[in-house]
Amino acid sequence: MRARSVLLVAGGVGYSLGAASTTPFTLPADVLTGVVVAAMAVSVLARWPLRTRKARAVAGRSVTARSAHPYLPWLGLFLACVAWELFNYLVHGTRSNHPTFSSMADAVDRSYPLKALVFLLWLALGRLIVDRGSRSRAGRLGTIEPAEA
Amino acid sequence: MSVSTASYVVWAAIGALAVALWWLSYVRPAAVAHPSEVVGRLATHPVGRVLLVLAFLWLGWHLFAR
Repeated sequence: MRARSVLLVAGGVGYSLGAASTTPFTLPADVLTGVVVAAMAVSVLARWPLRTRKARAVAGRSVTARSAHPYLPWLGLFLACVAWELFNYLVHGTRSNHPTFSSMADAVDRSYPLKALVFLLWLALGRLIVDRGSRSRAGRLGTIEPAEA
Repeated sequence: MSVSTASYVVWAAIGALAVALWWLSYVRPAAVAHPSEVVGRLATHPVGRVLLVLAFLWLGWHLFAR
C-alpha cells in the first residue's frame, strides 16, 4: 500500500513536471491535459455509483446533529470569490488594474516550478474528488441508491 | 492606494479568509467543515457531483491548455 502511494506521488510529480514544461495553446499542452481529463472521466464512470441521493434524506441525524451549517462559510467564500472575479472581469479598465483569476494564473504559469506545483495540486484534487465520490464512501454515507449498494 | 493595489488586496483578503476557514475546520470542526468534507458532500450529491467534475475539468483545461 505504501509502495503504491509512493509510486502514485512520484508519477504525479513526474507528470506535473512534464506538463508544466508545455506551452498553452499547443498540441503537447492539449495532450497532457487531455489525458488527465480522460482519466478523470474514466475513473468517475468506473468508481462512482450511477445514482446517489441527498445525505440529509437518509442520514439526517448525522448531518444535522453537528451544527447549524458547517458548509455555509465555504459557500460564502465561494460567492465572494465569484463576485470579485465577475466585478474585475466586467469593470472598465486594464487587466493590471483589475486582475482576474485567469490573469493571475498567467503570472503563475510563467514560473516553471509554480506551474508544476499547481498542476500537481490539480491532480491531487482530482484524486480526492474521485475517492470522495466512490461507491464505498457513498455507501458509508448512505447516499448511494439501495439498488446499487 | 492605487486601483491595482486595492484589487490585489481584496484577492489577498479572500485568500486569507480561505486559510482562516481551513484552520477553523481543524479547531472548530463543528462550525466549519473541513475542505475534504466539502468535496465529499459535493461528490455524493446528485447534482453537485456533476458540477464538481465539470468545474474540475474546466479548471485544468483553462489553466494548462486553453
